[in-house]
Amino acid sequence: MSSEEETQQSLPYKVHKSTLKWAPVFNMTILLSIAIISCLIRVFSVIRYESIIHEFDPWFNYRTTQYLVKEGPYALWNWYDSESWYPLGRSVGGTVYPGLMMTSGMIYWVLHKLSIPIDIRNVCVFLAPIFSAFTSLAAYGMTKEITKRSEAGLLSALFVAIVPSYMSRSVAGSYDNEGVSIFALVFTFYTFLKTVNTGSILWGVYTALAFFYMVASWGGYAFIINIIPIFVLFLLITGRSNSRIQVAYNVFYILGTLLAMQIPFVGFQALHSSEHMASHAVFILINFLNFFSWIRNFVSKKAIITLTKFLIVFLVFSILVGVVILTLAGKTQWSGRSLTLLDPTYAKKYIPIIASVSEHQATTWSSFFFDLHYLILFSPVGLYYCYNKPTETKIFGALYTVLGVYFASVMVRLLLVLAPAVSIMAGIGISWAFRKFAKSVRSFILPKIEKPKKYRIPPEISIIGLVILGYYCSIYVLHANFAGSEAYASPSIILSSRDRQGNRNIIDDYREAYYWLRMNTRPDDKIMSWWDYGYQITGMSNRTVLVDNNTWNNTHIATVGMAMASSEEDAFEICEKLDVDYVLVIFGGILNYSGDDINKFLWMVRIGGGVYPHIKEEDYYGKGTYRVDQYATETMTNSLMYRLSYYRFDEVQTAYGQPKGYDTVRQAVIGVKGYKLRHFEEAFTSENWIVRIFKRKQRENRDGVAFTSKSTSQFTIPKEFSPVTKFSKKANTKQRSTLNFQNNE
Amino acid sequence: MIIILLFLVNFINADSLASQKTNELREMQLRDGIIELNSTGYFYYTMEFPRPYDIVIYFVAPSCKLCNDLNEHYQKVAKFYADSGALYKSESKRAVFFATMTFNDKNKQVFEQLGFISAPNLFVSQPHIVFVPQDERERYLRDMKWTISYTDGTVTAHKFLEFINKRTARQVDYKASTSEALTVIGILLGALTFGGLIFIIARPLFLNPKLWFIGSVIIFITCLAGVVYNIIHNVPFFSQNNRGGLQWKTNSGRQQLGFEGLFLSLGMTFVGLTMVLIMKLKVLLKHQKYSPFTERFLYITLFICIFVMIQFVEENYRQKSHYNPIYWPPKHYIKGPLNKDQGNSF
Repeated sequence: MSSEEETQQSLPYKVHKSTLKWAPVFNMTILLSIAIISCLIRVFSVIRYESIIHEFDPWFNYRTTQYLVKEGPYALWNWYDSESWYPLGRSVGGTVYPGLMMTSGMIYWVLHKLSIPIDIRNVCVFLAPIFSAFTSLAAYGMTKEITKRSEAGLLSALFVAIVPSYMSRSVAGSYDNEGVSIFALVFTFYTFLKTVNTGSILWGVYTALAFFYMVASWGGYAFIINIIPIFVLFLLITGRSNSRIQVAYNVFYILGTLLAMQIPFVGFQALHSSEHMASHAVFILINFLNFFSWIRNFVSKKAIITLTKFLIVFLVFSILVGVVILTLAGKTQWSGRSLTLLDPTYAKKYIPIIASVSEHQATTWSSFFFDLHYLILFSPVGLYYCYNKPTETKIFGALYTVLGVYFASVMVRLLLVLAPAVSIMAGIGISWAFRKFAKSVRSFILPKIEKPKKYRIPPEISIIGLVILGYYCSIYVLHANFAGSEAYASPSIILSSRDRQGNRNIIDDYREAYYWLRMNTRPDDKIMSWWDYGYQITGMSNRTVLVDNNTWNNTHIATVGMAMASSEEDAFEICEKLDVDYVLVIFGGILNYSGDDINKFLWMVRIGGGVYPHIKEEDYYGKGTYRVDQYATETMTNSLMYRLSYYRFDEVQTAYGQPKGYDTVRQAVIGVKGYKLRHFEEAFTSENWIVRIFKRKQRENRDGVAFTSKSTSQFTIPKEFSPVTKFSKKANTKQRSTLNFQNNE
Repeated sequence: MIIILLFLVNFINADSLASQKTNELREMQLRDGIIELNSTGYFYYTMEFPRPYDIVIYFVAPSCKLCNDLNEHYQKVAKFYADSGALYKSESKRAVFFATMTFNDKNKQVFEQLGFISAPNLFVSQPHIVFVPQDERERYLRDMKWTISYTDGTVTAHKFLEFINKRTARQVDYKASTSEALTVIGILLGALTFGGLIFIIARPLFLNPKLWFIGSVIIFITCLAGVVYNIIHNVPFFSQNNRGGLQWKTNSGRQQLGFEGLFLSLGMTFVGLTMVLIMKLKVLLKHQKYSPFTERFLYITLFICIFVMIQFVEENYRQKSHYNPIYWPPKHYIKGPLNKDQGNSF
């Protein structure tokens, strides 16, 4: 036997050979397992709680889906919802991204055609986990397009499948746009990169279709319509553009924009909104350059130079003249608009409704770490790999990561867009390291097959490296598991607490109260609450609300904020004008539930004050801080929110060793005790007092004003009748005109 | 007959007085830009009928810094209104004039009547104010006045316009003056030209992927450090703790200090960069001759660096929020059969 044959007979060689033979099978099996895992890890929320729609926005999506399934797609298109934004209503068909609802509606219809009588709720609950499986497959494809390596793809797929940031929006029950649109995002990028690699128009069409699905499902499509032009521009500037890029971009742009316009909510915004400007500019530029280089074939070199000079001067001059003329004619709005474009913090500083939403906050390092964990630590490795020997697709991956990091740092919610990028980068980086280590170990064991090279890492170091990286990957999995099973599993309308023995108690106050509303109020009653609970009330109680989470009308929200912040008398007037029948407040003082309305109250004051300047934030600060105890200001203790939240609160003992009326969230004894409500009456308080519902009383009869005749001129007003007294006959007529004026307004 | 005549005369008188007052105000505003009112003027022009116009009055106090700062914006707004033809009444809208009043002993009464206890205040006075009875007055005035204070955030001409537009039922927009617009355009064009020039001069440098990597890492570190958060929330770099010592981090999961963000962002990026270094160590050291032992020592050191840094980041995170990845399920998971757990749907 020759030494060659001997090597071939040895065990490591056999293992190596058979592994190579079975590699594609392993590849597919692993990918499938990843897809399954990504589904399963999101079902923790159903196992630990129940199959229920989570949080706030999903309730609207769920309600819309129910409507779609019942009434059909055309009815949804024309749906004018009179149960929200009373008395304005909301045209849902024109202000909704229908992709999510259409998807689940489609699944529902198909399953029913196949005689599987599934409930629409379960379709909605399990939609996001199913789509996360698709996302991991798409991420595999995208990474493979970037690096041409399936091991990098597999790692990326695993990372995307369980990245906590993505899980926060796609656990079972979290029936939100992001659940399907992150798949659409990654899939659009995958098809786009495929087009870039192949130059195939067919794949370009797929890109446009994937983009269409993205536009149909989430406003975050603006990210795609900006990053692809930026990528193309980058390639143009660095001289890396080629015909494949042109095909990819032109097909994507033309078809994509046309398709985007088919969504009623987008419509002609696809042409004139500032988010789309970059795509138009790059389209013009790329085709102009193309045209120019075509002309170059027919014209002498000297003429080309002259032409270039002329064109540049002409362009600069025409832009300058155009801008100056537009400015002088007052057509452009420089200051306000350009400020919001140049300064991402503008809206958050000056528009309280944006600043008040927690998912709109800017991101701190700890959010990055919790939501992306080790991925954020290892993504620079992938970045380096991409920049080391850049190709178009690698540049795209790197650009996506860098832009994603920027957007994520502006708004916590956009961590979601960054999550696939860092997953892919970390996947590429770690697989690169794995490969290098593995090669060195292999060349040690199988020197015949893996020829030793000069710059190879020593094998024992490689083993250490493999162990360490493997360890960190496993910690990442554990962390993701924790995030999926604990941190992001809670539906937030069902709360759970744990007693000292470790037993779990379910706190179901929300559903209790919403059910009460459904059963005990008239169908056309109007419920006033802060906008956070609007979707839930319409979804679960089927009652009309004034404001909800679709915060399209700031003034209306401010009016509700003003009512909450006003004294009971003033609030009564506002409530009467708005036909409010019930006021619903969330109160956590008994259960130490910190997400209650008293804690959100300052935002109501701010938003209300933004439109009605007589509401001043400082009036609600006692001794310089926001407080509810004896030092709280009179404005604070008189406000409707305070009065309703703490009504009869001084009758209960909440904490051991504390007097009655001790608020466990604010950790203070309330300042006003034993008061009575004049214009409202308590209608319902849930088991743990989390939800309190008050009924607005009818207006009291005016004391003693008894007009005997229609002619007021005969009427002498007795002095002791306070509200309308004190006027002479003349003043009374004047007062009438005031009233008229108020009505007109 | 006489009564009718008297009535007519009275009516014509009132009408001429109305137009006379309007003309006076218009002339004053055209002359001074903003009408300066004293208490006599205030009562004559706002509280005495007829007055077929709205007056916006900006109440200030001497030596009030905020008043002076906002005065510029107020004048702008007055100019926008004048430019849009608001000095003349139109079919459905009254003329709008802009005035200012500075607090002194003589006009104290006006300030008291309107219930101002601080300055600056903006007040839109409409003809109806004359009719409003005393006990309705407070509620009526409340909607028409705006006491500006620090909690209103940065008050700009936009906010003034919004407030006044709502109350005069006019739609006057902010228009940047020509010089302002030209400055913005100039800065933008200048920046573009500058960028373009730099790019042309240092083109080879910009085409170097190594530089892209460095640039990306810098952006990465800055964003990870939560710089936008720091700007929005005006976070200091360091702060002082209760004992007066230097504090560089907070224990709250939702907050951070400037230095904390930067330091941990550097730490997190450091892990990745060290990993790159491990990959590239052999290539970097190709000209140096090291003994195998030194070489391995270097590698081990780098691995230890990664380990220590990750420990450090995790430790810092643990102080902010719950963080405890463990290999076995939490205790409450294995406490009993699943269906004893309240709330699951099995």
